[in-house]
Amino acid sequence: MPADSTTTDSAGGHDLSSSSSSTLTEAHPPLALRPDVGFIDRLAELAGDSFLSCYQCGTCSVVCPFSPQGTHLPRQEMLFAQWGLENELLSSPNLWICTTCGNCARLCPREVDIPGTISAARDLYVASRDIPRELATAFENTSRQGNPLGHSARKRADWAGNAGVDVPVMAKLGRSVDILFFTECYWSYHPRGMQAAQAMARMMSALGVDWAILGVEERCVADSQRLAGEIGLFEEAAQKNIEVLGKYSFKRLVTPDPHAYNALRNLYPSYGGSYQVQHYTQFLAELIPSMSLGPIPQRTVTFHDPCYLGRHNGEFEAPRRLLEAIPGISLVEMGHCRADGYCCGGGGGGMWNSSFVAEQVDERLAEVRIKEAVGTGADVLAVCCPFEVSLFEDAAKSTGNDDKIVVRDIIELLDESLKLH
Amino acid sequence: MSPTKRTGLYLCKGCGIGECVDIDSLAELSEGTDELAVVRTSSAFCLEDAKLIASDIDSDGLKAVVIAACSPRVNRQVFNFGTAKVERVNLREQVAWSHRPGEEATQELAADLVRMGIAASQHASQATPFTQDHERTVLVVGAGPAGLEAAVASAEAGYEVTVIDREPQPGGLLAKLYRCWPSQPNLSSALEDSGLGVLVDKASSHPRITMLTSTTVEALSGEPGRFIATLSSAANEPGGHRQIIAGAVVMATGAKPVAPESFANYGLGTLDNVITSLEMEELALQGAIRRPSDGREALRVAILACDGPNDERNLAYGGNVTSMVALKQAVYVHKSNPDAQVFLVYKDMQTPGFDELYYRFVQHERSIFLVRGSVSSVTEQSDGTLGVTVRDSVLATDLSLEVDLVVVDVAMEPTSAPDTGESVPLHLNYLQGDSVPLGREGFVDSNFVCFPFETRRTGIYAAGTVHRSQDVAASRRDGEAAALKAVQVVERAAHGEAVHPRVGEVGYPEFFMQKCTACGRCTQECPFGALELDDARHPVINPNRCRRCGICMGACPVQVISFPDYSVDMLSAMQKAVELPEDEDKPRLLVLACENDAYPAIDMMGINRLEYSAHLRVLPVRCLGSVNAITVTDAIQRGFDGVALLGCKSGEDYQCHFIQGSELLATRMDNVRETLGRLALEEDRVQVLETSIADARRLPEMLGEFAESVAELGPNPMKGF
Repeated sequence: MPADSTTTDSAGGHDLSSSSSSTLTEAHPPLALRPDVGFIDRLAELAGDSFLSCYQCGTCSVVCPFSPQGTHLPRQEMLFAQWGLENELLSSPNLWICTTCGNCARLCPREVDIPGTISAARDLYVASRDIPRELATAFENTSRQGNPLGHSARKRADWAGNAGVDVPVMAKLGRSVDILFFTECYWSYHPRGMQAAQAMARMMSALGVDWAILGVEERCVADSQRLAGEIGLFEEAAQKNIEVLGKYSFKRLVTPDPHAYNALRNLYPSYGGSYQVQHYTQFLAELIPSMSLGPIPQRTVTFHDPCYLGRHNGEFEAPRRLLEAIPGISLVEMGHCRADGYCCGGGGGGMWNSSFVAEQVDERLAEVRIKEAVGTGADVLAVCCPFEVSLFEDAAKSTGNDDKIVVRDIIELLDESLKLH
Repeated sequence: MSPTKRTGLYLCKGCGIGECVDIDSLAELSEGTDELAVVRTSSAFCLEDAKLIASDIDSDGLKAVVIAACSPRVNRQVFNFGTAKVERVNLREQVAWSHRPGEEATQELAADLVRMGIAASQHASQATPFTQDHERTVLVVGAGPAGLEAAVASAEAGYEVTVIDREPQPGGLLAKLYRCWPSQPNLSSALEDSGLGVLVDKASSHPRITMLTSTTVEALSGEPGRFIATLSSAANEPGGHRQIIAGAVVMATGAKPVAPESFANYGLGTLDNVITSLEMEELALQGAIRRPSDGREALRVAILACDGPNDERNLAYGGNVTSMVALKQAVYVHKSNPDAQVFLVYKDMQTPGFDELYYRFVQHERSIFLVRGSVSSVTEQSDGTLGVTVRDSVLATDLSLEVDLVVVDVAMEPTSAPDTGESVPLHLNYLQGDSVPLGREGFVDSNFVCFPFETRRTGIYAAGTVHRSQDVAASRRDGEAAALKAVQVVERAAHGEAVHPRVGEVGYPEFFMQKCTACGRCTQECPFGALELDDARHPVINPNRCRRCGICMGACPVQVISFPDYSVDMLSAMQKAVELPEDEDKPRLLVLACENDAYPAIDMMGINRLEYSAHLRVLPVRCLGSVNAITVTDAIQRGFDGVALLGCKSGEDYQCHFIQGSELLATRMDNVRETLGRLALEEDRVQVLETSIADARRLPEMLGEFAESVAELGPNPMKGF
């Protein structure tokens, strides 16, 4: 919080890095309540005015994954929004640690769109102020190269070379396919993601699926960039992707990224792109009877629900059905699971904001979560969101748990089982 | 014992009784006794055979019939035979449905119960109703929304009504309000007209309503059917006094704002621009909201709900009303000038039910800001601008507001509250005092769950804000409901019948005055103030005030009080009818069970087929308060191994249907313990057990524990003496 907490005309001049703590435990001079109704109107135009319904029960802050770290998130931000306190809201560091995981909104008795309100506030911020550097870089990369990692757009399909099976590309195929696989950035570029993508290709081939990828024509869906405040970037990407998708004929669009899934399924229709969209776990769960899976060495596995597959889109069963289909796996649940799943910290821009978040809180969410996973006695943490593998592998190392647990995408476990058949 | 009455005994075999106990041997039990002129059995007396009972009464001239069948709580109409006194013996719920069939202990229980019924029939007679000149009219005191609605409802039901108000104009506090919040949940408008004009027109033009303004009650005496009210009027007739007779009274004397001194910490009374919510109504009535100091329009207004830690008094009377007033007045400001900003400072918003929709609606007005916290200071600058500091906000930091006007949201205190400084509104001419006894926080109420609208003065019913904190719509409904109670008591009183909870009961206490010691205890302990004292300081009953609880009977140290159909003698004869075997395996435990909750709960055990000890002998009483200490000590001296007094919860959250019965019992128990001590008997032989009507599942255990604890003491050494 700013030391001078009166609302001033300093919009645009506020330096985020000076805010070392998001808590309000120290003594402060009274906060002068001088509401700016115009700001409320601007925010409501972007996010709807559900935040005006907040009656400060505090349920959101209790279930926020950051709450043990004393952040007051998001209760404090809803109050700033209601009161039209532009400077307080936009200069709150909390604004940039929220992962839009949505557990608050799930339980809000007044049905406030809390993640939407946070995103709208970020959008108003981005328009006028400097954002954390790391995040700015991710935005720039997305804009220039079509991916937040900053790799060359031309290398987007390079992973396919090492798959061991043929990976068809739409542009070269010249015909319609059943499944258009939207690989998204982390499976295209990240080393651990590429391994998963290659496993996916082998599974598609083994199942005899008629499929193809977009290859270099694909670009980042940028749903997390949208939630981080770059609505413009998202809209630009949507326009381009819809244009490319419009060139081809396919029955279903399948993606490994729950964030892309969320946008393709829920937002693209309003931009003119309506498809039948599935997350890869949903697609494969339908094909379990056709899979020839061999027994893998006995392992206890626990599963982490991705926020944007589970809580935001209601899919809890498909990943579990896949895991249960693998001979040798016994599945155990963590206390936070399904609708009450605990965020890995990667959503809503968190993936590219770790230095900033680290300054604000003592423990990263992935670290809290990995400890919970280890606590179940599992030796594998199974995931199905491309952000999660690297986040949890880092967390396992930083918390000294890398000898206790390994992190595997579900497709990797399926691939292993497939090979052993 | 009084001369025997010609009595019939009817033993029913239906509903499983015949399969559980040997009815024929029960019939033989009574052979050779003087009382019984007729003994019959049937497979179901509640069907065709009910006519047999009626014809026996006609042909044999029976004065009493003992029907040993189902619980007295059912089939009341079937077993009602006019002139013959009916005594019911509960062989179904309390024997056949709750004890093992064919066992000796079960048969002994049934036999004792039949003997108790016969004994009761010999000590109870059919009561004659009290009659006197009576009026089918209603007096309504207070012409606010509740009073006016009560007047209209009573008049529409066909009763003559006099409605009075001390103010020159009717309407009460409502007349001072600018607007109300919507009475319907659809929120088609944020503010509504109060509807007072229509209501006043309806009342003042009604042919059966007489409205007297500038009038107060100077004295009220009498009883339901015949209250005598002395009215004092500032305006009319010389001397300004008149007397009217009324069958019932509705007390709708309303509320007044909590005293301004309670809000001195907010600057009320010292700062010009700090006003009460009532003054805010005046401002709104005048149009634009202007601040008092300079008449400038208030563009920033703070409304303080005054529900913080120092606002105890305001909180006690706030309810949902102060929260809703605060929300409504925020809308006043917004409607008067959409650019004006309102800060509503509150700690706990109380908006139950549909009020929640209004709360949400107000939140969505973008110039109204809700601020949760407590106000720590209000200061004034030289230009009249006020600084408000809010502490304990959700933000863990103080907040400061700069406003033109502060509105202090003042709760309504009932005019009945002892320290309101109001004169006692009804001026009762009753021995127990001139005020209607008060419930919590000084509201006129008794048990709000079981008996809403009842006061502890029979025939006087409370409605509106003197009854509880409530809004206009609720007050009007309250008035209508109180009117129903009022016309009911008028009708009952005309026939000398009791009202709630022993509705229709006619017998009332009689006093054997030769033995009265004029101690006056009965007059003090009557929860309803039914008894007055005559010149010799002997009790005099006002039968229509009496609720027939028998608390006076329990109170009397010389046992001179009895009902025609309920008396110390009757209870004594009933317990003496129980055989007390000297066999150690056959303890006998007397359960004096309150008819309101305990007895039905025991029935419920049977209905649920829950078994309990066959050594218990249940004797129903009207209220534990009606149990005279001698009834308990007699039973112990006769040789009962233990006595349980099973009744309702006492204390602040009492559930006694007669308010004080179970409480008074506690003091009487001291006498019982003293007697036990004198006899060198253990105190634990007599136990008071609290139960409620919903306790059937818990009762077997509770009664079991009682039986066990008495068993540990061994047999009563008095047995056989």
